[in-house]
Amino acid sequence: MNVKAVLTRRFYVALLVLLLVGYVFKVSYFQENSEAYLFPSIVAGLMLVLSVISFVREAFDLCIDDFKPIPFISQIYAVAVMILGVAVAEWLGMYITVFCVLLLISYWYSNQRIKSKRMVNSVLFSAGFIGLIYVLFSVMLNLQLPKGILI
Amino acid sequence: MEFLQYFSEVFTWTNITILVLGTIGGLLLGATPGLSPTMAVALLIPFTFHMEPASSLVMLGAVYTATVAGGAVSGILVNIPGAPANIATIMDGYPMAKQGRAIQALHYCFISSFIGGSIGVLLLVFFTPPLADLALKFGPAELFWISIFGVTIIASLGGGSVVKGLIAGAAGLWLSTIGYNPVLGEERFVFSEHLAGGIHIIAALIGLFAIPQVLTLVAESRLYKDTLEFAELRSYSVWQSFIYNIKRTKALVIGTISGSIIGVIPGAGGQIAGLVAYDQTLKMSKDPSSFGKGNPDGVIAAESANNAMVGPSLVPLLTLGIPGSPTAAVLLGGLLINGLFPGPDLFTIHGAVTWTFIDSLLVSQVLMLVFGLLIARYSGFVARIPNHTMAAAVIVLAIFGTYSIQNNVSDVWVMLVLGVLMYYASRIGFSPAPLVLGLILGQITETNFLQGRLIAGDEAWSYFLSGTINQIVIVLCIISIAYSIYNERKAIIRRRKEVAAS
Repeated sequence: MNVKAVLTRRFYVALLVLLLVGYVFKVSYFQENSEAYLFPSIVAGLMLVLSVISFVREAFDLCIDDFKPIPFISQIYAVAVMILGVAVAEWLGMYITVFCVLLLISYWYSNQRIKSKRMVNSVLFSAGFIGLIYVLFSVMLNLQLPKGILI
Repeated sequence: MEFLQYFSEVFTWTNITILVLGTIGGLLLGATPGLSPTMAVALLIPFTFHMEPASSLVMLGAVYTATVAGGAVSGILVNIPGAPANIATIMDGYPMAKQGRAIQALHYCFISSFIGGSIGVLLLVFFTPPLADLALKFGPAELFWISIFGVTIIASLGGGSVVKGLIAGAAGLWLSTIGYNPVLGEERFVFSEHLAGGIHIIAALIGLFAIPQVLTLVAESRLYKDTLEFAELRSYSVWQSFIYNIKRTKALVIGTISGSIIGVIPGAGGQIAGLVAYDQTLKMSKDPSSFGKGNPDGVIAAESANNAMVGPSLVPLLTLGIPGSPTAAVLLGGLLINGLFPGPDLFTIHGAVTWTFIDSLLVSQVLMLVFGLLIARYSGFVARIPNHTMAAAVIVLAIFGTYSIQNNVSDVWVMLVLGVLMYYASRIGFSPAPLVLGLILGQITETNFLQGRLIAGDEAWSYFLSGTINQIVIVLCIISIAYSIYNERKAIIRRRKEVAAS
C-alpha cells in the first residue's frame, strides 16, 4: 500500500473513532439527571479530548502507523456462524446449536482437501467435543441450558 | 509467619486435586500455541462459580503458574511460543532442540521456572502484608486516584500508542457505567435489553481475550501444522540438568531479579520480563556471540524471569487492586466475583482465603516442576492441534462459559459483540489490557469518586487534590504518561530515520 493510501486509511479510521466518541460524549453529557451521569460524562469528556489528539496525530502523520491488515474475508464466515449460533441458541437448543457451530467452523477452515474425509473428521471432532462439554457443564457443573424445540 | 498457618488448607483433598488438575491442565493449555495464559484463566473463571472462594483462587493461580511455564514447550520443540511470555525462551531453546538437546532445554526451562517462580511467590508473601497495611490509610479520594493510576499506568506502559492506550482505558471506565449508578441507583445507557444489568466483568473478559484469539486462529487456519518439524527427543538425566541449572547462578539471578521487578510494574507482563532478562544476560555474558545459537543461559534467564514475574504481579493487585500483568487483571475479576476486594480486608477478614491462595502458588511451583519434567516430552503433541480445531473449541468454551455466569443469553451477546469489536480495535492499535482494567476498576473508581464528593461537599476539588498520598499518586500518573510519551517520541524519530535511510 502506498504512503498516501495508508495516510488516508488512518485519517478515516481516526475520524470514525472521533465520531463514535463524540456520540458517547453526547449521550453521557446531555442528560436530565446530570448527577447520575457525572462520572461517565467526565470520562466521556476525557475520551473526546484524547480522540481529538489521536485524530490530529493520525491526520498529520505525527505517530507510528500501528495499523495491521484485517483479514476480513477469511474471518467473516466465523463471525457470521458465531452470531447466527447465539441468535438461535435458545430456540434450537444449546447443544444442537453448538454442535452445528463446531461442525461448520471445523469443516470450513480445515486444510483437508478430500471432502469426505474432511466431513468425517469434523463430525467426529464435533461429537467428541460436545461429549466433553456435556460432562463438564451438564454433569459436573449441573448447568441448566436452553433445550430448544427439538427435545 | 502467618502464611505458614494456612499450608494445611492447601493440602485438603479438594484443593490438592484442584491444584494437580490445574497444573496439568495449565501445562497443556500453555503448550498450545494460540492459548495465552490470560485467555486460559478467563475461560476457566466460569468453572469456579460452584467452588469455595479459596478453591477457585487455588485453581486460577495454578493455571496461571503452569501456563506461563508450559508455553515454553511448543517454543522449544517447534519454534512456536505457547504464550507471548515465552518469546525470549525460543531464541536459544529452539536452537538447543535442533542440536538434539530438546530434553535438556525443557529441563532447564522447568527448573529455572521453579526457582524464579518460588522466589517470586516468596516476595509476594513478604511484601504484600506491609503494603496492605499502608492501604488502611486510604480513603475514597486515595482509592479513586489509585484506580485511575492503575488504568493510566497499564495504558501508558502497555506498549503502543499512549493516546490509544488512554482512550481504551477511558472506554473501559465508561463501559463499566452501563447499567445502574452505584449510589443513586438510576439506570444508564441501557441501549438494548441485553445491557439491562450492565456488562458482566467475566463475560467481558472472556469476550475481550477469547474472541480476538479465535479470529486470529481462523485467519491463520491455512498454517498447516502437519508440516511442523518436531525436534528429536533424546533422554537426559534430570539430576545433571538440576546441577547444571544451579551452577548457572548469573543467568538465574538476572532472570529472577528482572522478573520480580517487572512483575511489580503494573501492565508490564511476562513478555517484557523474559525479553529484558534475556537481553541483560546476553550483555553480561563473557560469550555474547553464543546467544541465539543454543546457549542454555538464554533459556534459564528467560524462563526464570517470566515465572518470577507471577508472584510480584500479584503484590499491587492484592494490596491496591492494580494488576501487574494482563493475567493478573483477569485474576482481579476472579477475586471480585468471589466478593473479595483488594486491600487490607484480604489479609484480615478474608485472611484464610488469601493465605491459602498464596500458599497454593508456592505448592503449584513444585507441582509445575514435577509434572513439567514428567510430561514435557509428551505434551509437545498439543502444538500439532490444527488452528481450526482450536478456534472451534475456544468458541464453544466461550459460549458455554459465558452462559453459565447467569444462565442468560444476553451475557453471550455482550461477550460476542465486545470480542469482535476488540479484535478490529486491536488491528488499529488499541490494546485490550487497559480496556479490561478500566472495566474492572470502573465501579470501584466511580463509587469512591461519588463517596468522596459526598464527604467533601463544596470542597471536592481540595479533597481530591490535597493529601500526601493523593499528590504522590497524581505525580506518578503524570510521570508514567510523560515517560511513555518520551519513549514514543524516541520510537517515532528512530522509525523516521530508518525510513529515510532506506
